[in-house]
Amino acid sequence: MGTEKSEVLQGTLDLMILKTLHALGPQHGFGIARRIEQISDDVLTLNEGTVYTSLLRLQQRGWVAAKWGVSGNNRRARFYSITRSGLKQLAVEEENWERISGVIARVLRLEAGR
Amino acid sequence: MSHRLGLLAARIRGTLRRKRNAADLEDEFELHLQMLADRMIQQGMELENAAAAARRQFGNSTLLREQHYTQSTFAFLTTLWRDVRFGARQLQRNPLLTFVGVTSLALGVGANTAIFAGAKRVLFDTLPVKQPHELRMLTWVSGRKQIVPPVWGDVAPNDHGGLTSNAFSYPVLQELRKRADAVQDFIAFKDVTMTATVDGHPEIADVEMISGDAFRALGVGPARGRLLLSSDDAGSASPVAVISQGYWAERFGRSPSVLGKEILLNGAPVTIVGVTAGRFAGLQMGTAEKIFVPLTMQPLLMPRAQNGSVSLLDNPQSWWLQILVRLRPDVSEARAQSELDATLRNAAMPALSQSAERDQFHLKMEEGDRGLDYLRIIYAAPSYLLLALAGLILLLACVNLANLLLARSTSRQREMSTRIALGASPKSILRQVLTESVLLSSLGGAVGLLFGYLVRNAIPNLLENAQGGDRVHVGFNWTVVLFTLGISLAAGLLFGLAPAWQATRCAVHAGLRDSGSVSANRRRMLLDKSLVIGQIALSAILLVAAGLFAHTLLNLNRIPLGFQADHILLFRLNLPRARYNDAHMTRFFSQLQEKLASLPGVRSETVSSIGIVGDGHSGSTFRVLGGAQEKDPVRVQTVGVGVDFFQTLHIPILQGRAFNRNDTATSPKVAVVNRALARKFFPNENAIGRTFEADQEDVAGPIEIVGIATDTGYAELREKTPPIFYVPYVQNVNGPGRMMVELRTAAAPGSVLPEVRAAVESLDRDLPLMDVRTMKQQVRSTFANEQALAQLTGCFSLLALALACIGIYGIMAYTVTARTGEIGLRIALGATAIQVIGRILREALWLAGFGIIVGLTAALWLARFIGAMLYGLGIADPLTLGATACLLITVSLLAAFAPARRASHIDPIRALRHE
Repeated sequence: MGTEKSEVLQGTLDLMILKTLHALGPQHGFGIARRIEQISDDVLTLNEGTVYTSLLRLQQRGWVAAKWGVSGNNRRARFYSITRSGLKQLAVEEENWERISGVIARVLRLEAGR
Repeated sequence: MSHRLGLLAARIRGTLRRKRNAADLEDEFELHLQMLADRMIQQGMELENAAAAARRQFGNSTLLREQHYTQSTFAFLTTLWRDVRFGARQLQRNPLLTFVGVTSLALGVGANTAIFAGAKRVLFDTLPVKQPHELRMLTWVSGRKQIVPPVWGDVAPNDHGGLTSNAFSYPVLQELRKRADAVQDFIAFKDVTMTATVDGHPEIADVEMISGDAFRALGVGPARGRLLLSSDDAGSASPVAVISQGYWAERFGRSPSVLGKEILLNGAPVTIVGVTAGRFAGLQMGTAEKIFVPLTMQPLLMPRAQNGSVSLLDNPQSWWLQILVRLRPDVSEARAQSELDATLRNAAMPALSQSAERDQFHLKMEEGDRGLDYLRIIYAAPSYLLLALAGLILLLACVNLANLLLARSTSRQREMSTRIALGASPKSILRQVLTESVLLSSLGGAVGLLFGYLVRNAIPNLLENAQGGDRVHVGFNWTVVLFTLGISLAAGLLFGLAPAWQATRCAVHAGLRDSGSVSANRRRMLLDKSLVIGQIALSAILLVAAGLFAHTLLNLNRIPLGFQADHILLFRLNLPRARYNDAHMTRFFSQLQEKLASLPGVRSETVSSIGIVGDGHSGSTFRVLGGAQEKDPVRVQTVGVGVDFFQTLHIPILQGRAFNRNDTATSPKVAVVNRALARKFFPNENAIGRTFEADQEDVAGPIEIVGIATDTGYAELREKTPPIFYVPYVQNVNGPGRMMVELRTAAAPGSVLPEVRAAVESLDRDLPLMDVRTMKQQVRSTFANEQALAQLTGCFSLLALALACIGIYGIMAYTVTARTGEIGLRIALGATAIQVIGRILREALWLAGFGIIVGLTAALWLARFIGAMLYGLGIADPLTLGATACLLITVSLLAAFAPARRASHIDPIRALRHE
């Protein structure tokens, strides 16, 4: 199994979640999954459960905080929000992503030009 | 860093709250699934399909839960804990295996620990002072045949035909101090033994005369009171002394009232003003109890008559001090060397006879981090040898355990197969098996550490040369514990490898079926057999070592002494020059001899300037008068003896006469020579009646040879008897300051000791009896090392033999079980019991033979390293090699006999049905 592929996916999922929380404010896991689904326009198929693994990782690093609250349909749900250090990390990762995707785009153009 | 700490904290939190976290996660998952399903229903999906679709979209929740768990807790620790608990249960279930394993490991680890602790002490530790590696020991090197100043201390020949020594005179020290700019600190010292009288009780004590500012330079502080200061060098009306922690504890029970206490050193009163802090006990390695006095107290405490003065402080002719220096940090070693060298040659001028030879005299700096180091010289070779042997024992224990565990892994094949069938990865099987072996080795290591701690002093005590009074105390510190931990873990991994490899290779189907496939078994047997061969080979190496040392000891014991060693009591008396002049000394000994001779139980008595064996050398020049003039004065050995020396020791006089009462201080000088001397200097003529001259400071004037005695052992028994001449001590120039007293007793030598003590005490209350022992002990002390090595290697090889026995028994028992069917068939076809037994024994013989060949080859190769320690035999000693082979073959056959007998009793019907 391509471990590299899942590695990349893992990193991007973290970034997407951070961005989502940054854009929408506190959300529960379901909300985050919906947002990613919405944005990705069904291009990305996501096992939604992995959102929780990612969230745990982000929490352990202190980039995301969790609080129990009540969901729209009146059920106990955990709400996640981005922390101050999470914001910093988001900026760093966004920049990283831009750079890497820029490089990859250039590489791909090079291939096409040959 | 804080980032990592945060992660660690998160994991710790996760571990502590894992139950609650799991429940929370469950809630979240459930909510998510519910909401997904609700949404799908809203989008028009049927109720019963919606739940399944939601689960599909959510993904594998079990896997997610597991990921969550491993990520939020220390899952590997939990697994490890589980493995450990399981391993402990396994060990419990096999108490015999556990016992054998732990015991053999404990012996191996314990032997290594004890030997390492001792070796560390004698080989690697440095002086407990500030920055010991900065210290340099000054030595000098003389040119070829150069006449050097007389040294009180160690002088040794060097590679260039000259001499080298670390002794300097006090004037040279002062000159170096004045001129050497490159040196930050000079630490001058001299280690001596003195009679210390504490509360009226005299005993021998190690004393270090040391320069006053040495303690400051070494960074040693006081635990009580004050240490010596530069001002103490000036000398004062009330002499002072400082004592080490060890001496304080041993002699004064750490009493604080020791400060200000007055003790007598060689009869002179000194006041104890302080106790050193820490482990510092002088600049010689390996001592713990020490009294320090200022160097400048030499004339008072240890007067040495020379050139009409007892003081060495203003005497350029006597070289006796050791000097450690600490160089200035900004000065290169080479510059310091050349500076000190130039200064030394100028300062040494008065002592060097011919200035033309001055250029051959050089200063050399040597490592000073171990100060004055006799330990390494004495113990290095045996220490390395013992480390190597202990390593072999541990290796053997490992091989043995590997073998035992392999045998057990057969019975656990089914368990392993079940595990693999249930999805255990090879990694987890490996981890499980290795955890078990490391658990076993940790147990062995813990017991071994305890065992090593208990016997830590045994090896230095065994090796202790009976001449040296001070005992090496072996300390246990964290280095030793770490070492033990390290070797235990390494051992666990080592002997766990074979069974672990075996376990992961065992195929699923093989274990679940009734018996393994033939090919797997064959491979198994090969591994097992090579392990047994290895065991026998290792045992052979150890047996050869033991054999060589035992044979050496035997040879040493067989060396003809030339005198009767039984029923002789020895002790030494050292009359302090501070209280005795030459005339007093002579008078003391003549009175003592009279008293001793009249004691009941004493048949005869005599004294001698040195003990006849094991008491070092005492040389003198020897120049025959009236013959052809010799170019160089020849040095021979000399002993000043009492009148009845030859009668008391039963040394036969071959020709001429022994000494008698008419040989007095004023009568003509006479000597008895030994046969070696007579043969060397008077090969074809009669030595009796010839005259010779010796060192002027020993005996003045010509000496006539009046008798020839048989050759006796002298100093080291392994050396050939050197030429010796004996003179009556009363004819020596100097009075008998330090004499060995020899008493031939009627009963056991120790029985007269109380009367002897009383006799000495009646003459001098402050005189301790030193080195009290029997002549047999004295003779034995000259090969204490060989004796200890023979005993230790003997123990080691017995242990090895026992381990090899277990190994051979194990493999043969396994062979018989594995081949029950085949043997049953043979019996059914008419094989007799003898044939069956013979077959099994033949197989054991093959293993033993192969192991012996491998072992003896290795032993012969390794024995080169101990060649120098042997006596009277080559490394390829046929007796040892033959005995080793015979012993191993016998033991192998004995070990294989029980399984072989069992094989001959196999019931063919049952065996074949079993197949």
